[in-house]
Amino acid sequence: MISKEQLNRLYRYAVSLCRDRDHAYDLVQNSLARYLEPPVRVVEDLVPYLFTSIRNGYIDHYRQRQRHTTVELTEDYGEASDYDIRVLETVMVNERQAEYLMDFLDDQEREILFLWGVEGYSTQEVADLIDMPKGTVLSRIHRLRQRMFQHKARENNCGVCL
Amino acid sequence: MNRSLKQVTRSYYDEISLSDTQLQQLMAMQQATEPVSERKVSYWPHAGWACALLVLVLWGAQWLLVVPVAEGYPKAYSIAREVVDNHFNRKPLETRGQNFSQVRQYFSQLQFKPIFSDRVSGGWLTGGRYCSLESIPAAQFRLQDSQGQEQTWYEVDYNPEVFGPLPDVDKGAEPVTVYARGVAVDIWVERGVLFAVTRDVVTQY
Repeated sequence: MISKEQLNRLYRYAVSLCRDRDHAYDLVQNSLARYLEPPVRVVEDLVPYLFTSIRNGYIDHYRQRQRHTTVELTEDYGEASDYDIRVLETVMVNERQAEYLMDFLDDQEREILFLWGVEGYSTQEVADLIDMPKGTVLSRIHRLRQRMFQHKARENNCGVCL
Repeated sequence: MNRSLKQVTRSYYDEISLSDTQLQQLMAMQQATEPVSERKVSYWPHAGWACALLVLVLWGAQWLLVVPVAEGYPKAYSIAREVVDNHFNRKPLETRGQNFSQVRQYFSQLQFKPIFSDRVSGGWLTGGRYCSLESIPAAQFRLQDSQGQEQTWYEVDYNPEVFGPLPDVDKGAEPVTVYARGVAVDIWVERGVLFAVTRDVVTQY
């Protein structure tokens, strides 16, 4: 049985992907329905399993409709190789800008931010969950930090301090 | 006030949660479905071979035995999904009435005669329309349950080759309940007719 707390974790993850709460609920409900399709499997750690299911559902439904934005990051791959997700620990944000920040980030940046900031995932765990090479995840983290910094420089009121 | 990115992210998502109704619905989806097998393949290096052997044995057994190979009902979920999709996209009724005997007269083009089941109870018939399940022509009835919710009730000529094995209540089996898009669907076979009836899960628990 998936607890209410776990269901809320799934829902928050879905929101981090699509930003739309109705769509997020659909994603959770559909992933749960898929999981409950008999015969139901016992999975050692159900939440990551359902995270992956939600993610697959999101990609299936939204990427086809061009709502899932993907960004090629090969240009800064080498530079990012020295990074770790913990570099985000040093980033300071004005707490009143949270909503604005989530709009500012793209889907994958929000997903990484959620997995790190809320679920406490390491870089490797993020890479495993989203089925992406660790180096690519590091590139995204690097790019995320850079974008926040550039935005701060461009618009002084963004509230981001590095 | 500046706070760390992690703190701000946590606070932001802490404020996002499912409504009570949504939680109730997701919890209800889980009520009737309990895990049946634990798969820890990685701890048993020969599992792959064993599974292949088992499949081979079962495949062979189906030619020797009359009983179905699968204990479960592999097509039940796809049946439920189709029923629920149509349940959410309800098209206008083609015939209206509260009397089953009268409403079923409308379905003269089917290869079977719709029958009444005591298992479909606790509601009021409102009418019906032609529909299909797995591309097989079917009768779709609508009824209003005791909670005032409109439910969809399908009847279709049961063909095991199309619908796979399903519980036959005439042989003592109980209907199987499958959840799709948050709706419970009871499925069974009775007197050669496949029944699929939606149930609003929130009102059931």
